[in-house]
Amino acid sequence: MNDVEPRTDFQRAVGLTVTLAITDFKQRYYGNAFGYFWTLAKPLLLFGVLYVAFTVILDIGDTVKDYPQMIITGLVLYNYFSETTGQGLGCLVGNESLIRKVPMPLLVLPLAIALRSFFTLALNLIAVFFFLKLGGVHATWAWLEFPLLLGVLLIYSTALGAFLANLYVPFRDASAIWEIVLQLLFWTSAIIYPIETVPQSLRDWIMLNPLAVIIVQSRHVLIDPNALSATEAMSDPAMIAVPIGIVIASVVGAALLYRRVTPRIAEQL
Amino acid sequence: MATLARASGTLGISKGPATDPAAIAGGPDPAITVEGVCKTFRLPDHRRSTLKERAMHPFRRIPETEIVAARDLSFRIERGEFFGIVGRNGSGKSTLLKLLTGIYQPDAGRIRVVGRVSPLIELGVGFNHEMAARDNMLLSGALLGLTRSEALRRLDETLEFAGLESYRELQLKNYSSGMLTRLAFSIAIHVDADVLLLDEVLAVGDAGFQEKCYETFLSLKREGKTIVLVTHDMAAVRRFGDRALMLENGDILAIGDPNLVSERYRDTVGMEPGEETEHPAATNRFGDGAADIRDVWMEDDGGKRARTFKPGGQLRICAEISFTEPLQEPPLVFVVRSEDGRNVFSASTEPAFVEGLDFDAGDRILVRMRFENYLGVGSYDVTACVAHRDRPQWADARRDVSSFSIRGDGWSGAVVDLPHQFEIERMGSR
Repeated sequence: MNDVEPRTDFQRAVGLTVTLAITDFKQRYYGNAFGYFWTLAKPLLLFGVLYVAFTVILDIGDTVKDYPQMIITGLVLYNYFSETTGQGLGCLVGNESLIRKVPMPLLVLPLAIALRSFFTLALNLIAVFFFLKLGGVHATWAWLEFPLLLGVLLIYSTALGAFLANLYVPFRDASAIWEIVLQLLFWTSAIIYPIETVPQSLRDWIMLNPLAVIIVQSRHVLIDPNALSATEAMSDPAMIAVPIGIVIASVVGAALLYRRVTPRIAEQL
Repeated sequence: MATLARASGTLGISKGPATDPAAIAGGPDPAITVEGVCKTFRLPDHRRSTLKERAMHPFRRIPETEIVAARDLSFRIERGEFFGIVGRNGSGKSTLLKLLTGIYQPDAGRIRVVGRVSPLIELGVGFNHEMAARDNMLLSGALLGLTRSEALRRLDETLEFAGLESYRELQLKNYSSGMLTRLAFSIAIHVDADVLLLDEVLAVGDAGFQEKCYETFLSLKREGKTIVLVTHDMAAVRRFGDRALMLENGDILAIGDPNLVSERYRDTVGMEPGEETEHPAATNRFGDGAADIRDVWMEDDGGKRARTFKPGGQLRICAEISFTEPLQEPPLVFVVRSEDGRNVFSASTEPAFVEGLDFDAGDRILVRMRFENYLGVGSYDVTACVAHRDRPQWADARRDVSSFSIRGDGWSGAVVDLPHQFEIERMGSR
């Protein structure tokens, strides 16, 4: 049998990425009747805890419109970010035996993790839209902006994960450090509190973080058009250039890294 | 600055024919061109592995050990060649293979590989033992550059070759190691690569599997595939190799005819027991020296010494043995092995040894072992052993000390031609 089509390296890399992601995803929920339930369990549980804490105990939630919808949306997006970057960090070190024995473009590894996390995100989003429906939130034309925000989140998380994977090879404490950073980002990304309750001076700092921008803007387009948009939350709309710049820089940085440095880093594994 | 043809794009699994016009044209290009390739590893004596450590001692220099794995290597491997790379452990042969596959990048020089490559550095890399064989085959296929549909089309053929048709949905953790090896090898040779890069694949698996590997290599070679095999097994290199290369400390010590390279290997390395599966006997010898197998030869029915026989009749394996220590009823063993190293026939005096046949130091005996010659056409090696009766220890054992061949018409393709008869009965007709 010789039916192998001539294909470019790029097509092969895409094929490998997809196969790795599917295999990984399948493995997690393989033969597991509660497969889908488990993908939802993590964000839902956290959502439940936070919801009870802030509406029942602290009594904040009642004053914010569509508070549960806001939390669950933010949580699901944050979850994607933390999964992609956190697991992306370990993808070179964790696949050492593969890397040393099979020639492949190394960028495939963080990409496959990003894609696999995206499968989870897609499943979680179904739950999110169910919640939106339950809360009486209606679809508007503004929803069309959401896929764009998702796209940016995907690219940013993937690039960051790919970048961290390199860092983790020489610095084995990077995973502990990144865990702390993720914690910090959780509390500073306007997930559990509405951005308008934050004083302007602090708000400007928060809005430098691309993740916060995506979450704030998602709330604006999906849930409550009256909530502040990302640029409205900034004291000067031009400040949006900073988070955009961070995203672009991380993508360019990761691309350059994987072209020049990563193949050699892999030899040090 | 190093330029590597393969690394011309960021994503470089392998160069496909589409990206290399010469491959389509079938031009005179060699399959693999290596020009001035250097590779040095600098290994720190201990690894600084945390940011904290780096921050606490920013200027501390860690002494490094330099290992030159490739020193200005240049050679070509032509299309359709079976090319052996040999050398002792640490000579740089595995590094060279990893450079050829693109896993390592050269510090300097150029490597060009034309056609699709199937690297087999280790069998079963990337296998996920929690998943079924089928999923693993798709995954391995993707790693070797196949699309999902191409991998799907190969499922049946691959499983059939491995003899695992009925275990398609079985999780790999329930596979035996032999099954895993067969599956992995079968996957690797079913990706239709033009160039196969193999590292010691034959070191694993039983004799039957090894024979299947050899057969596969021969058929791949007939199809015009280029095969590069890194190995210790000089016998395999001599048997299959068109050419061979010997590395020593990252240098090419010899390149060319496998027999010459093999001689060089023998001169340089000496033979390490277990690594050489061919004669000559000198180092293929074990035992504590209580006995000395001085000579072993073959005779025909009439007692005539020969090395080539016709099929059928009787043959005798003869040995002259002297004893340097007293031995009581020492078991004598003859083993006939086929060319590929499988034991075809083994005969021992144990437990049927003539009782009371004890030997003193200085005794010399002549042993003749007669057997019906059911051997098929082919070449055979004879191993002779004298053991101690009371402990599991050889007094003398000489592996493949003598060889002979059966020549004649009517080659059946089988190792033995056992006496047989057909009985055919009519069961009636419809």
